[in-house]
Amino acid sequence: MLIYWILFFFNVLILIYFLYVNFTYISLNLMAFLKIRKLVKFNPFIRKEQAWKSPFSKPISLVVPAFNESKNIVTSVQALLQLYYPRYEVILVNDGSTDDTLNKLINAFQLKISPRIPTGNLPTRPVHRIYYSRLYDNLFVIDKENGGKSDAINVGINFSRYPLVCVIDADSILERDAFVKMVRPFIERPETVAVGGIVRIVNGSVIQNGEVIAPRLSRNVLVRFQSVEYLRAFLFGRVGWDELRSLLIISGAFGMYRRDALLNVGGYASDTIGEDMELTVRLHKYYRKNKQKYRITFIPEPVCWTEVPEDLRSLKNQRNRWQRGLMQSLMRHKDIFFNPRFGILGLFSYPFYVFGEMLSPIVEIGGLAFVLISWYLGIVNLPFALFFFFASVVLAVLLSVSSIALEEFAYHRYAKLRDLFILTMYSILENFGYRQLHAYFRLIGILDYLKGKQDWGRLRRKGFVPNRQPNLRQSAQEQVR
Amino acid sequence: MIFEQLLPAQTALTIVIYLLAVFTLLALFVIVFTLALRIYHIIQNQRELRMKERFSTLFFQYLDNPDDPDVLGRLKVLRHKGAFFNFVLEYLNILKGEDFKAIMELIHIMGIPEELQHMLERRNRWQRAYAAFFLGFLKFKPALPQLIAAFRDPFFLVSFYAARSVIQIGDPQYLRETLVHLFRIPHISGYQRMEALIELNEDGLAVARELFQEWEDLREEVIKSFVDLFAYKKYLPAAEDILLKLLSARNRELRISCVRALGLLNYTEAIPILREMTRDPDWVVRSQVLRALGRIGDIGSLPEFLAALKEDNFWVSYNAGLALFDLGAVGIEQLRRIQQEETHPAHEIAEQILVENKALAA
Repeated sequence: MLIYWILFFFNVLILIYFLYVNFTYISLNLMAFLKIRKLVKFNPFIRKEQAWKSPFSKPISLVVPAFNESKNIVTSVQALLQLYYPRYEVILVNDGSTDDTLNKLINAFQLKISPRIPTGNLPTRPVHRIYYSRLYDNLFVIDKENGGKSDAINVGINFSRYPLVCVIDADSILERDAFVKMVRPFIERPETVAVGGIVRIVNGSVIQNGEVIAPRLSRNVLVRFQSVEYLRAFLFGRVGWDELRSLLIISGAFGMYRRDALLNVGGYASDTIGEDMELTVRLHKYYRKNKQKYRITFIPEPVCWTEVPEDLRSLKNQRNRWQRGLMQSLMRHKDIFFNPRFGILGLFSYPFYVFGEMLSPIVEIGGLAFVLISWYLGIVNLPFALFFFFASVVLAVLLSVSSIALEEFAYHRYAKLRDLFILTMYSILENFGYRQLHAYFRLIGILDYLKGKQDWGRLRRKGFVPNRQPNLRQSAQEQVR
Repeated sequence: MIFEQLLPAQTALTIVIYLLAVFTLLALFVIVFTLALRIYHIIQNQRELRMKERFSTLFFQYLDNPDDPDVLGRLKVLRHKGAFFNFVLEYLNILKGEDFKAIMELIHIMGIPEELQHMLERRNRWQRAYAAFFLGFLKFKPALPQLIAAFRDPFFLVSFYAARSVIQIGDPQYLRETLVHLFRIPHISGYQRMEALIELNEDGLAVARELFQEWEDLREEVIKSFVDLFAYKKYLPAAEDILLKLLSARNRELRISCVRALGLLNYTEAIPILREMTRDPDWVVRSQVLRALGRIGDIGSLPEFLAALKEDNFWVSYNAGLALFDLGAVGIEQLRRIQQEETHPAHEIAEQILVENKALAA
């Protein structure tokens, strides 16, 4: 009888969980659609050239932490120096690389020792030298002792001069007009402290001179699954949460902040592996506690291209780290949980991250195991369980294809009809294996978090340097199309 | 079974089957919708490509010979004038001089402004906003009464773009009313307002100055916008008014804007007041004052600059260094001297400024 009631209790719990998570996703989806529709309508009026020439565009310090990036570093920096923006500086922080990253930079950009003095006072590991470039007025390279990504970014913030600080990964590619779009919330609403932009997957695309000239879907199965995931996460997840003014994460691969806000909260935390989320949560807390008007927002137009794992081991390490980072951030700031002082953030967004994100691997895998046990014990209505499973799969497909529809409606980046078709197919296929595997990786992440594991794990990257000559004629035709 | 505690098994099953059917239909609908969107885009793009080819032939034929009656005739009877206008807009950002003039003339010959005028009356608010936006860009004076009427449009963007267009057209008769309206439109950021204000011509700036002097109950945000505008436009007649505002301003941001503006306007009359302000307790104000004095070229403030260079606050010290640099040879000489004295507390800052400005002694 006890087992019966335990099973009954878990059945009801799973049903409530299913309704709660999916109701939230559907709501976010609808809000994202309305917001993107509005943005698309407003686009003809945003004359890029005007923002580019505007005397009121705020100058930006672009901080790029780099560790053993010898393979791509020169191409990446050259691309970063070509952005369409009137005033910005590139601060590349060499975080104690053990390869020849620094030497490559010194030779390629004719670096000389600079007397530049830090203006921020964030605690960091020692800095060895600061270099300026004799070729580019706006390039600075800082060589420091290895201290991790957060520490390197904090050094960059200390040495930055401009009121806005943009942080990207050294292996990412910014679209030329990314700053023009990214800066708008800061100048239109002075209370804006942080803005996130969309991160898209570069694997498979055609790259030339550090610029993505033809976005393509990779042939790699794992990358294709991740492409669907990224569209879902950025196009309806982030946009939807932003509409509720309760965005809890600005991607570490591409975020822009007001420099004074970063200094106010003490910069990036060096003792966490989910530094991007931790910072965003800390910004929310600081401004709410000090009763200052603020805004943390996301705009889906400025694009940063990034490389994603192509093999299972790297994917496993990445997702494991993301899960641990998520748990660290949520646990560190647990006072927000159902705290009415934080409004929607405390009552809705934060709890959703706990139940819908952090605990989802347990529910997904536990739920599956539980149904199997119940079926084995003969206490579950099999037709009901099967239909329920298919209903949840179809709902997941609906959510994924909605984000593909949103992409097609607003941006249609994937020029080939074939790519769109493949994305749709993968949004169905991901429910049969990939999702469960993903949940398993994250479950391992939960266990590692409980064991106190702190390392980043290794990621194998192929690099951006084009490994084949792009068919320029075809690319140009695709761009026109 | 378990769920029979909540619902009879058959009912629960029926509900789930219905849900499955609804989700499946919705998913299929979204997939079909996405594919339809793609097909629509492909057709649209192909159509645009064909039109572009046709437009560019006509366009370059026209630029080669603007008086060719055959080309003009074909352009006048063009069916897709709106699309042609969008095509031409891309070139307007690049072309200059005679070509620019010729295209603007062509746009008027083709009756595009009149089409935009009609568009301003449409029900679709985005079309009205589009028309309000571009009528000013084309400086189409006959649309002025309509644009003024559009100030009362329920959609704030139409109201804003109409005001901006009136400013771009620049008829002094309407400018006062427009500026007053501009500061009353809801949902518009200070930045957007400034984007409109910087379109003001000399007459417009004179009107803005009148308002700046007359409006007694002006909000500080509005005063600051005007100060920034005059500084950006280098509108010297307003310098005296800015100085007066500086003397009465209590708001920190406004004081900073005034100081910066006086420096950018090179207003020498402000030197005595600015010199007094070099002792301001607020380091942001102090650093801006030093920079302004440097921009004006006040050699008399040299001792203040040298003293400020030794301050602990980086930004005060840095701006004092920049002020020295702005003074020219005299200041640069001082910076080089300090840079060579390694015991001097500011030698690193001096070196940094000289390096950044490529003025380090060989």
